[in-house]
Amino acid sequence: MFFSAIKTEPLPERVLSLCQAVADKAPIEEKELSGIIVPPLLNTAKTSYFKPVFDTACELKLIGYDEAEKVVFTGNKEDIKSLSAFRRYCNSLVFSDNSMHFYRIISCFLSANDEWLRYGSITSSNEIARIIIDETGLSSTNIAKDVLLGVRFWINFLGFGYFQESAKIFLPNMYTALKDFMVLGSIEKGAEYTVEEFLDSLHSGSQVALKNARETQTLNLAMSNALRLLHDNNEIELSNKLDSEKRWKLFPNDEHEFTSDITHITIRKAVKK
Amino acid sequence: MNTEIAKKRINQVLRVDSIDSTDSDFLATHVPLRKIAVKTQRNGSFEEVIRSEEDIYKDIFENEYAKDEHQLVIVEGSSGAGKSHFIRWIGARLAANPENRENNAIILIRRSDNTLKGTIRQLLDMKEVRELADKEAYERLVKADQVISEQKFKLTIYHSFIVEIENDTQKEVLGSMKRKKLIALLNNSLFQEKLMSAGGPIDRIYSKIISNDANSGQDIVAQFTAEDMTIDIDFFYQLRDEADKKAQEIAESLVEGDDDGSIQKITDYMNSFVETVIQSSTGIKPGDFEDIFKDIRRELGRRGKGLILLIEDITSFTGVNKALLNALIIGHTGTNSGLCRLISFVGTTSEYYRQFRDNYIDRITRQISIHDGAIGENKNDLIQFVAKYLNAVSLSSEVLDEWVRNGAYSDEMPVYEDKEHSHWDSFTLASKKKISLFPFTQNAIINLYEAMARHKTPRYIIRDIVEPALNEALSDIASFPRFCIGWRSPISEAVENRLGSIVASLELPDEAKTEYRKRLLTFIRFWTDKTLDVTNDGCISGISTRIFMELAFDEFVSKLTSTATVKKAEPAPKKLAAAEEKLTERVVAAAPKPAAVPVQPDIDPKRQKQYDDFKDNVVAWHHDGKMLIRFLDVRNSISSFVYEAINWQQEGVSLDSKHLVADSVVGKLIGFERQDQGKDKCMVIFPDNEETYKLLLCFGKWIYLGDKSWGFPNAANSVFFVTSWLERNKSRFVEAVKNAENNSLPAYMKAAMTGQVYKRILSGKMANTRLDRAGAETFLVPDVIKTEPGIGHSQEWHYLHKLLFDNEMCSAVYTSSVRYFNLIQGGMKNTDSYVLNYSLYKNAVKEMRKSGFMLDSSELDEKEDYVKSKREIFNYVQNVSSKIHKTAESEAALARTTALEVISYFDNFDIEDDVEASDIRTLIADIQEFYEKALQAGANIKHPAKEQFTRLRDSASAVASAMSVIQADYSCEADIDILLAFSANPIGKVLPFLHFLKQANADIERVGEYMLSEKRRLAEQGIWNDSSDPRFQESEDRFAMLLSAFEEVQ
Repeated sequence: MFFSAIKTEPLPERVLSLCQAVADKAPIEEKELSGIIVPPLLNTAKTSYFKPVFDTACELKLIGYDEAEKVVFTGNKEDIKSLSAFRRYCNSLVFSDNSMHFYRIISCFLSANDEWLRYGSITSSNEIARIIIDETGLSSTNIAKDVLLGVRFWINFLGFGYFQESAKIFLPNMYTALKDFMVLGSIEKGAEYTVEEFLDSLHSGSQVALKNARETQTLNLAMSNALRLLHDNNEIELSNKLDSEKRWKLFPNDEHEFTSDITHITIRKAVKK
Repeated sequence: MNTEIAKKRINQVLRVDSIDSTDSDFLATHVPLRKIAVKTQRNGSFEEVIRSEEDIYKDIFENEYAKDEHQLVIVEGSSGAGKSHFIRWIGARLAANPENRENNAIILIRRSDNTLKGTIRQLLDMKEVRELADKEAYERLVKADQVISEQKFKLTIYHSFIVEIENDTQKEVLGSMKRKKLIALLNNSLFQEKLMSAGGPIDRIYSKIISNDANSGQDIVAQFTAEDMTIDIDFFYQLRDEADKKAQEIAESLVEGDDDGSIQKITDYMNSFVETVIQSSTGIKPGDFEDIFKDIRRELGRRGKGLILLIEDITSFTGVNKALLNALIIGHTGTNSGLCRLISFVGTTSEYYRQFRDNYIDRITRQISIHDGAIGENKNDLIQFVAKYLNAVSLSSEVLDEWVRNGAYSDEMPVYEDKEHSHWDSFTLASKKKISLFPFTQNAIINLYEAMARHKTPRYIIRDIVEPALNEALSDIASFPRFCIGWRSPISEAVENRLGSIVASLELPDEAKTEYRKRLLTFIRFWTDKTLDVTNDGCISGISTRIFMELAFDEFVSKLTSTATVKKAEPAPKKLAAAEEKLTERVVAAAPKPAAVPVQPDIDPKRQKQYDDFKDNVVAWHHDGKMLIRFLDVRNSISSFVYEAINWQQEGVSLDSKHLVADSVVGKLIGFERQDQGKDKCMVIFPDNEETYKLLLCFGKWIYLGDKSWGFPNAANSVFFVTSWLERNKSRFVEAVKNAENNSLPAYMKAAMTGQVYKRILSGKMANTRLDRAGAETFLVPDVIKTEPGIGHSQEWHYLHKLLFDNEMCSAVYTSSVRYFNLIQGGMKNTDSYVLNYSLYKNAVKEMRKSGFMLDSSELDEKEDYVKSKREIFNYVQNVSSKIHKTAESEAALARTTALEVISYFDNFDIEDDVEASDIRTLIADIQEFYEKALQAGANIKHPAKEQFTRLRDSASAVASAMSVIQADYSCEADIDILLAFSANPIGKVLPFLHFLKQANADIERVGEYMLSEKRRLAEQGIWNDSSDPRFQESEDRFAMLLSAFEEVQ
């Protein structure tokens, strides 16, 4: 999924469910686990979704096999305690390799800013497909409809924005993901950072949202929306100091207190660990 | 502004209609009217030309051919349009020329307090009138000026109408019978009270004759209206109770809604007496004015002078205006050659003019029309107009008087040099002198004028803009401006939203923020260039930052300047001079620049119109407190957005729960404060606040501008807003849809799972299952197929079975109970694939095991109750649950009866004794022996088949087991456990055995009877002894065998 082929079946909540079952029942025979997660009397589909979900849980290093070939939980139970803990764990892991398809496609989603809004559905717009191919260098088969459908669950779950499900339109706002990267990074309450320092202090996974950001000192729409919302919620305080050496540009929004330029970010509220 | 002087002078200068208004104030505030429509009578028809006021003056008074002609000039226009001002300017212009003063008597009749009495007082004060020859007419006017009490005068007016009607001899308008009925109605005390109430026709007529309030009579017409004469149904019922029959009859024709034209007819009839009534109640004769003016003119004619009569408003002569006009149409030729030449200017409202125009059309020389907006057509004039008032307020009357004494030359007009407010905007006069516009800016004057709701006339500009602004600025500039909060002037949503965003970030209490935002937004939208630009010349939005500070917007300034990118100030736009620029052009020019997004789609004008219409409704809702109307499309779109954008499963909400809400509630997921319909049916109500206002507009754009897409200008701004809004409000929706805390089960799901348990129990699928260990075999299995309950259950059991299975909710309960735990992909409702939500299921099962599988109606959450599907699932299962106690009771009672009956066939057994399978088999063996012996003995009974004995013996264990169930004491058991105990139908299992026992018992009794009858027969034959007959011995043996068999089974 993240480091292999992208599929639609391993929804985040399915992967979490399987991990929780393993943590509860391990060591457990894979077949027995399959019977729990995919109740045979209720699953009337020809194929079971068990395998792709199982494989994704393995990719996330949360489950594995013991010497007796039984399935065991290999992660930290705190990481599967809730969906938000699981999300944060995923954010800490899934963007560790920028050569992966998953990374490249998500990065492309985020750097599209508002351009895709007018193209409509991400799965049926030729324009969007063309942009993804151009930007990521992936072949058209690698961005087949199912791939994008699979990505949408995760980009939403990981906190990079919302999807209007029936229209398949992505609305970027990485408020949740940014908070995860703040928690996973070394951000401290009360500290004032320059924008550059702030970005440096985020978890490295945040790089997925910072394509060309440092070169242009410009933040994309998803990141800009996140920063503005954090500011509006009084969780951080943006500022634009006139005497600052470096000025960063948010994606323009002439309706917000900060229409574009910012220089500093102060952490107002505790970053929940 | 000189605040000390202004505080004293404001009332003097701004009360332009006051009789006390001085010439110096008038001249210091006069702005020439440039475009006046003048219709001149030529050969019986009017020709219209556009003239300036100076042109008109010259046409009339400096035209050699016209100046000695008799002239009647009508000056018409709406209330406050500037008619009086124009006429007064004519007077001042005439007076400024010594030649005019020498050759004419110039009489200016001011509007005064716009009452007849005030007008008479003006006339009496004039030298020309005091020197009149006709003393009688003069005396009558003096008498009319005497004070009588208000109530007495009003009664006089009222009764004068009755007197006039009683004496009306004309029958064309109203026949005598109708007149009598009308008089009866007028004499009714209730009706009199209605007509004499405050604001009623008598009150209005009174106020046109005499009024204590200088302003009250300005726009009042002293006439009856149809509304005055209309009777509502409640009032009619009141009248019916106490009025006489005639009054009732005419009242009926005046009832609201039943009008057949009678109301207007009666109204017109009443109005035909207004003049006469006023004259009779004031004691003035119709010819008095004619006489007085004739006397004056005769005297002036004798002296070789002309008369110039300037009447600001003819309605000042209410009651005698026809008489006055009659006096003014008399020329100075022929039989009237002794009279002087008369040039008269008569001001009248357009509405009143229409009433008399036709009768005097041939005598009117010129008709001058001053339209609304005449002053505002030229921006320069409008600003100059306000500027001159502001200047006059800052100057003492002595300074202006001296200027007038020196000829009132415009380039010498004194101007107050306002050093204190030099950073405020100003207006430069032709003399190059600058008038400070404090507390206005040029933009403010223009924008406020544009926003005026009605009467864009000088009087209302002063009353609604200049006066309140000055009063506020003089009393507390830190809370300025308040008077125009709620007024509208176009401003971009971007600026409005950004301003809201900045104010939201200020450290102020929420309530203070609302007021602060309103005042600031008002200031920005009217006073500034409508941007939030910070420029390097110390300006914000095009005006000095100091002004913002004076208005106590320090926090805003601080926040804005710390967040904005400072722009280079553009060269100041050319200040207004004499250029004739229309206001609309100005507004367009002042419109904000488009946002910095490179390519913007074009918007279809039709869509833009739809959005604008929607926005108007939302603005009226948010800013004016109106009901929210025509919002359903947008509301439904927001609801759809919420359903689709929240990933419910990721929020811990089962898609089953979300689908049930979406299908039942649909668009009503969301409601708004003061929406005009169905608010009580909405799940989550949003208040009327800035956030909701923006939300509505965002989705208005999405629907109308984007045609349900984000393809509209600045859509990225809207995306930021809607995603932020959803992030902030997501928990409210999750809570409403989830209906449960953390991982606990919502009531409807508890009901669905309980319902499945009931279905399985009543189908006999729960045998050997403990409810406290119910798991996947109960909850994660296909639905039970309905089977009729077997024989052995109570009637109540059958009833419960029917209640459960013969209901359309039966399958819905199953669907929900399994779908709830399925982790579904995307928006699908049903799927063949199943992936268990392990933790949700695990917690649910844990909770169910503890639940007791019973439902109480109070468990249904209020939010679930909103959702029809959830409510129906709950109610369906709860209804079944409520019948379980009775079913359990009946089933237990039937079991006990059955058990006792079976036990009764066993020797020395009671209900507590366990019936073992061996006991059953022994009994069966005994019975079988009985049948065999009976057969041998020749008893005439049906012998059961061997297979039956075999079957019974084989089922002995099952019967014993069932007996243990039905023998049990259930008095302390839970109802659901009793139901579960009988799930496998133990009574049904025992019944065949019981039937067998009953049959055997019956056969034994028959054999007993047979035995007795055989004995009796033998005795009767006398052969009942031991050796009488060998056949007896045979019979005796058979009997003995039968007896022993009988005794065994007995």
